[in-house]
Amino acid sequence: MTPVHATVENVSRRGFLKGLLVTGGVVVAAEFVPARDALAAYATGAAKMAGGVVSDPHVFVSIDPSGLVTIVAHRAEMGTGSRTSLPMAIADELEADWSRVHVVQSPGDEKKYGNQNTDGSRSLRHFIQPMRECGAAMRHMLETAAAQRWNVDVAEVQSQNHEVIHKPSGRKLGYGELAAAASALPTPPADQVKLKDQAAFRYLGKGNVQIVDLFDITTGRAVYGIDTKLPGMKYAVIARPPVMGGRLASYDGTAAMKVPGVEKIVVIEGTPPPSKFQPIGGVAVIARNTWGAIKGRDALVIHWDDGPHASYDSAAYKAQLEETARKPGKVVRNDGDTDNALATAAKTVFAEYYAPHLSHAPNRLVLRRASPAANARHGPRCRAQAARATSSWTSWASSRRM
Amino acid sequence: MVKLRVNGQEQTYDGDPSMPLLWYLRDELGLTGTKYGCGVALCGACTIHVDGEAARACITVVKDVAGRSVITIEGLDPNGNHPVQKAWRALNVPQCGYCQTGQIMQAAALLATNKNPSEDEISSTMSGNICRCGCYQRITAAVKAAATGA
Repeated sequence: MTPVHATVENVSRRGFLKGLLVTGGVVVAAEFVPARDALAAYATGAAKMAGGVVSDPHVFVSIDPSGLVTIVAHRAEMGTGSRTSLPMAIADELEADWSRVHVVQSPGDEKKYGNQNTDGSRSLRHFIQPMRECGAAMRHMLETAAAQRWNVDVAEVQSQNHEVIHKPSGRKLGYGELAAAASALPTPPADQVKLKDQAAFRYLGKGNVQIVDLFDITTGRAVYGIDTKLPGMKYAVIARPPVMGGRLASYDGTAAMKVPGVEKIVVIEGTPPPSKFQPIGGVAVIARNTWGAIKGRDALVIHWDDGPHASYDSAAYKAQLEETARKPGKVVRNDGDTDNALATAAKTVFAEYYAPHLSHAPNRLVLRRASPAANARHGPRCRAQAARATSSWTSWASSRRM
Repeated sequence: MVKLRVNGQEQTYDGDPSMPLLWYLRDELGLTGTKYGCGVALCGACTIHVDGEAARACITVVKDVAGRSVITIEGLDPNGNHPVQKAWRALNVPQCGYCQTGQIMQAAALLATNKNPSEDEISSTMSGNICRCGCYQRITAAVKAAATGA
């Protein structure tokens, strides 16, 4: 029996993710795969959130006389592609030709659009079904408008790729020609709207649609939260406590106020830990441009009260974790005979894995894509999340025998 | 007073000459395709070209580029159809896209001097451009595709 000792100092996020893949996949699958029957009476968690669920095509879809379909994306794009996927769900149910679909971002208005709190990987889980219902309802309205135009039973007409066809006669009307009449109709109730059979999907699950922002991303035209510019807008940079749980004791802003462009200094009281979604405190320097605010922040003379973690020492904490991890663990499950298997194994491998303190998604600060209004709505939250990140330091060390 | 050329246009700037080029481009010229990532040249999101060479705009100050030519993502190709941009779209490289303009500028600078880089050369040149979404395989494939016209 040759013991092999390996210590893996895992400092890269990518390496860290590799280690998580196996368990992460299992957890996700167990938690989120819905039973097929559940989909029929799909109750989304968004119904209980601010704004709830809205699926009215009068809110999300407009069609102009040329047939151009404009679909509103009401969730903020954070890189998952939901700004493409949710409109795509509408387009698919609507039998719209994706090349004639234009996606626009909604402002922040939860009364109108339903819940817009874009986090927790919920946009698709909560809204794919409402968006499908929305597209299907619009399809029904177009079919109803066509049937009325032809004075035939609505059962004789069918939407197909941006036009409605009268099946017995083969007559066709394009969506543009029906738009005005269809949009004047009331939205049919959800229980009277028939969703497509999955086999009939044009786009969902097909991998044939590129993200709507692809061209703009590759040309620098895509607008992110940090790119927002409003009339008269000022720029703020915040000095944060260097120690989590610390707070401002006192500051001197005399030098900061002398930095060209600096206009004002604001103390943010903050929220004591666990601050969760509330901002932590600090001193904000407001200036006419980013560079002025950065230099102003750097010129602040701040005395921090480091708080309960003033003596925190990451090296000592690591040693403490190692000591704990090396102690026998509490048995919560015992399958087979591990002790005997280890004792008789031809080879044992001993390894300790390390991951650094991990800050929870600080780049959400600048990443979130939204219209200015939505940004104003979500911006403070993003900052709160980033702030919270520093309070939710995670650290782990584990040892195991194989 | 600093004079420089940005995307072919003469510019003069009489503000703080120690301001990083990043903020000059973004705040003064409105060229927001150049992104702020780390501010200390560790991530590559702000990559631009200075006289054709890749540079990090966050640590390049305005006075450093006096009399020089700066190209940003907005000026890489008038129609956004530089071979690297086309390859990026053909291979669906971006996910969130935030780092991608920097990635594209870094790749374009590489291909300007090395028409057919090896995979190792691509990896080492692109290693300073971090992608939180982890699009690295597609980035490497797209640089190759742009090089070969595939």
